[in-house]
Amino acid sequence: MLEKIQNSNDVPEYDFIFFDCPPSFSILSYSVLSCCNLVLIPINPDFFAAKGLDLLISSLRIRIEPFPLPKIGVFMNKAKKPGGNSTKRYSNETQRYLDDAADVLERVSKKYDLDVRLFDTAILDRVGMKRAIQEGIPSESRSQFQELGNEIYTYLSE
Amino acid sequence: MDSELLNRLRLIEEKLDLLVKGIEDLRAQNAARTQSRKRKEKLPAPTAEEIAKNREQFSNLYQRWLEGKELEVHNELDGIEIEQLRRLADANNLNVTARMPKRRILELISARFREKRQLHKPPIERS
Repeated sequence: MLEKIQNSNDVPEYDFIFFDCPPSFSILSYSVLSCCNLVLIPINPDFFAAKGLDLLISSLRIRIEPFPLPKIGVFMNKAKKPGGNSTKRYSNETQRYLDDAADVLERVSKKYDLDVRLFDTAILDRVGMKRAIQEGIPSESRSQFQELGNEIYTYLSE
Repeated sequence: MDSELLNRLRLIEEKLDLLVKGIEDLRAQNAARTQSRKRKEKLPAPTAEEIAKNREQFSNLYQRWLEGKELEVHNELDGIEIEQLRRLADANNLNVTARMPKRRILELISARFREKRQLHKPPIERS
């Protein structure tokens, strides 16, 4: 796949290319995962997302070997803000599963000797995101995506 | 006749005194209760140091719970004063409210312990 892209005259020179892969493994996702620089995993703030990280990363490792595993970046999607006059950054539930995800990733990265990172920036749940295709990204979400983009860029440059 | 009337009046006066004293006592008790409730509401927000201490305590309790000392951990949590228990739960990102009873907070903590245990279970290895 990578060779095809490199040797093709029709493909413009992009700085970054994103492939949106399904959660299941197919020949296409296998090809993408074998040649990419970074696997970006969005997780929701719930128990199964945190628990599933372990399974997902160990499955990735099994499928991509003997090729070296790319960098793996994880970020929280649909994060919730705290209610009332709380000074916390995220809601209790979001923070709990963010901590759990960090815990799982630390364990998995040590176990399989992988380069894994949980990004500090989480994307907040906004009703406007559902209408983003027609109306564009909501202004308050723009800065979050920019911060996340910067974190990803820094991680890739390391 | 007059002395009997006077005696009765004195008795009524004593009873009235008792009633007035009782009402005053009740008022004082209510005022004290309201005062303590107000004081409870105005507890300062937990400091970063206190949050770290509560998290460490929660982690220690979880480790002991995981080792099979469930009853010991439950009794220890049950012995903690409710406001402190709320702070312990809140520092560990559990959804507790100011009016939540102790039993419910204990249930939340137990559920979190079980969830953490599930999270640390390794996935089934495929052959």
